[in-house]
Amino acid sequence: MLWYLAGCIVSNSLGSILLSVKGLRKWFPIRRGFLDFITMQPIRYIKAVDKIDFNIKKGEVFVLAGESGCGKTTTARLILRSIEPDEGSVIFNGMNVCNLRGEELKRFRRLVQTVFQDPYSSLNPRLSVFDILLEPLIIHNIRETNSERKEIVYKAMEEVKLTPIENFEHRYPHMLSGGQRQRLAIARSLILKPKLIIADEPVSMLDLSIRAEILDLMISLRDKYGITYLYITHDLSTARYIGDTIAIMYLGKIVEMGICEEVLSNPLHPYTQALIDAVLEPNPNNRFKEKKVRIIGEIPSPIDIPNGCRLNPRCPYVMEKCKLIEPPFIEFKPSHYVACHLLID
Amino acid sequence: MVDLKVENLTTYFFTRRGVVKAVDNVSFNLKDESWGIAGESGCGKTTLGLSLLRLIPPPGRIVKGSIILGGEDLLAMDEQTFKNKIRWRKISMIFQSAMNALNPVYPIGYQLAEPLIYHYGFSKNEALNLVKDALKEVKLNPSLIYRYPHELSGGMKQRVVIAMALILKPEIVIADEPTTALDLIVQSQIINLIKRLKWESKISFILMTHDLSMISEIADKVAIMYAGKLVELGPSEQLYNDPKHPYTQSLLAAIPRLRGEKKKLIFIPGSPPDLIDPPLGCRFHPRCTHALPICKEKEPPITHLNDAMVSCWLYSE
Repeated sequence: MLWYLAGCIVSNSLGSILLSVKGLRKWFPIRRGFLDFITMQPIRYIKAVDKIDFNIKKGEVFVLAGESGCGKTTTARLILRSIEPDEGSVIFNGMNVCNLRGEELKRFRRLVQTVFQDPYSSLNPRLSVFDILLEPLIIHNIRETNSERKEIVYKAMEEVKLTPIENFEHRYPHMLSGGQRQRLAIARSLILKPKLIIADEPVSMLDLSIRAEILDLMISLRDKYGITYLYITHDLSTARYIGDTIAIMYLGKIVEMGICEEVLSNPLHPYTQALIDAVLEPNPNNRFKEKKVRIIGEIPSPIDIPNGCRLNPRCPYVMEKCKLIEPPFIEFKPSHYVACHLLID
Repeated sequence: MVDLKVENLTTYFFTRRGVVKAVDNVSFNLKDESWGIAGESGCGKTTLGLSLLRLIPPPGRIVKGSIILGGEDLLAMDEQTFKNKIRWRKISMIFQSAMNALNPVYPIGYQLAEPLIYHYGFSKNEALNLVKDALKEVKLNPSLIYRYPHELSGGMKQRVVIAMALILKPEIVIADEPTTALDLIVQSQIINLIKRLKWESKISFILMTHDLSMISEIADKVAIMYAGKLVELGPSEQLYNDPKHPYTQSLLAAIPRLRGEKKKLIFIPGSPPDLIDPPLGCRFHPRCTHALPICKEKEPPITHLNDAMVSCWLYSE
């Protein structure tokens, strides 16, 4: 109940909201073997996303951060409705995405676009740059004539600086560098004039030297077209560079949420603190001391989620209470939310 | 006392499209310290590492140069001697992507025992006992020897791969992107493990990655590679606090920071050149903001500045 309230508070204090996720849940059932079946073992679930709430304001960059397996990509897939949620709702621009059908769903998918992590496998190797950009226009039936469509494709290429156009339009993805491919993927997501772009680790496969180029491009497109981003990442330093609001996920739950700069400079949750400790910085003095590792071990399997607070087996500040009761998600400071027993008393 | 001297090492790949100049005239001298070699993907880091182990796959070949370890020329040895005396005994390697570096059909204990049996002629049981100690050294439970790779998590597999590189107690361990594909917190754990090994067992690590932040956690000296060439080389303090080469400067300015003031990042326009047909003169000149007319024509000589060396026309007379 409390996270519901928390969600409402966020929505009231933030003004115009583009996307609102309420109580979203997705459990994937694990297939039972024959033996499990005859011994009447209960069905077990991978609790990928377990009742999360957040709101994304128009024009902001909302960062969803966490380690692999924490459910951030599942959340993105639920928002896109490429999988159906078990419970909860996704409200986009006032309409409940979970109830959309037919033409309406198609229109929604035009307004919400994705940029994937791996630009080597997210582009069709058999299509040229021009055809990759033309395909969404054909699918969504935008403009009638070829010359009109051509104009839109060229404009998108210019927008992401795949210029000179005549050099690039007939190339195939394998003839492009990693950065160019990712810019092409951004152009593809841009071409339908979306309201929201979901960027799932868009720079993690790229060299450090060109990451800034992609991030700057994303920011400039936001400023120009008022595009809203859901930026999914495990890298808190790029999150700080690009993000306005951040939510930290651990094992299917949001554990901390707030203004990016505030959360990253005053982290409240032990897990956020550990993630921040783990971020590397180029400083030659680092080599003389051990790196601080507050949290032990590795992320457990999302099948056997610990009782109480999900972090309790790894947390250095664990109390008796943490093993029994799940901590509520509270607003500890104005628009800085956290779920941790340490902060309740 | 580790003394590795590499002179004019040149490794080319003779492909059908042409000659890929992956490592071109690289010289350095490593003495009892740990190194970091940084550069973008495709700059020749991995090829350099494999050259030191003489593991270049065809159509690649070490064309010229010498690698001298403790007075012995490694390139002049025949394969059998190199295999018996150097590879894994003196120089070993932690390969990129631990997930694929282990054989899925053998328990990890046997994979770790193999070099002991081959090199020292231990019996299987003796070897397995030593493997248990090796696992303890990398903070793993010795009972894991009968487990298969798929039963271990990513961080544990990485520790096994590190144990494997250390099993013959080499002097030099080359670590090629040892933490890619690992989670952030596990990455810190692995970095701490490498640090402890470096301090306690006096192993010289050569860490190869594109991430200068990670190199600063381990390396005493840092080399920057660009398109098969060493462009700058110097002690960590100097390289991070006062980088000379424009490429090093841009690489450092491209790193997003979590702490301190939020600065606008710079990026290096364009992409690294095709190593079949690298640009004339300085290979970095098409992407360099300080390029002079001479950069396009002649390759810059190596200039020594204090302890560092840099290969750039801005610093040579």
